[in-house]
Amino acid sequence: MMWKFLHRLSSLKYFYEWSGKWIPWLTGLTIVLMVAGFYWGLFIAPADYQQGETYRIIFVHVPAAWMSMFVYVIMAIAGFTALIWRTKVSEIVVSECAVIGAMFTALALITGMLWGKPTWGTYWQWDARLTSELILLFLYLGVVAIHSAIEDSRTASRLSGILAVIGVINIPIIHFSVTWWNSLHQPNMQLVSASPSVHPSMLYPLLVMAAAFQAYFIVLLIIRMRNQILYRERRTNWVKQLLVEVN
Amino acid sequence: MQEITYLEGRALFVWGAYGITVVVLVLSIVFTSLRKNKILKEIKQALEQ
Repeated sequence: MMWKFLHRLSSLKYFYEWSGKWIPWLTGLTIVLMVAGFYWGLFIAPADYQQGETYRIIFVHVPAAWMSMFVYVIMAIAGFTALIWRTKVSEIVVSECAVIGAMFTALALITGMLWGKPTWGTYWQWDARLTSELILLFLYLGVVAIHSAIEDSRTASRLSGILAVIGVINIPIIHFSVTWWNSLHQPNMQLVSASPSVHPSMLYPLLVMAAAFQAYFIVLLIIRMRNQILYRERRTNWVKQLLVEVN
Repeated sequence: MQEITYLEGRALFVWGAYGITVVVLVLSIVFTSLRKNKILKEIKQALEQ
């Protein structure tokens, strides 16, 4: 049943029609979660006893950093699928995830710098966590560059798929960098444990923001993929028919 | 109200981080949504030629 559905989803026409139904609902969910997360993080969550008000930046920095790694894993899985099964949907996921992932990584780096200045006294340090996150940004930009430089979309997809799969090695390096090396960056949060390292009054708004970023990613990915599908399939009858219906 | 604009003198960093995040997320989704109309226009022009 599941495989049958996935098989149908690999058809660009089916994906375009199926995904369109989800956009209004997911957009609504994203707006509600974003507003709740921003308000909770800025106005309701208490100040940290050590970092004071500066810590509020984590409500945007941490979800952005989580998404930067999550999107890469999705891109690598899609890259692997595109290499093995040559499905067009997977190829589109790779190219669109690269842009979205680069955006989340840049946000994680910028908000991290804005947190670092008042906390560490510097915007940037060539620390293992920061450097591996910067490498992640370059990996994303590499995939974007391949798609921009190579005109044949299928060749570009194969090459970017290879880069995405190889680059996934950087994800555990980012995650464990604070454990493997002496790092200025604070240790990873222990969220799943008997005694979480974050107090519920700060954990809940963080999880709401993480859910908001996740929902936002899905909406943006669907919209970007639908645009790409329209462009790739512009010579097909179903897109021409769609154009007639729109007018 | 004064507290939220002051934030122990760190308001520039905190609001800056939130502001950049909101601007990037909103602009990204708006421009992506507008791109669909541009693509449809391009396809229409190509069909008319």
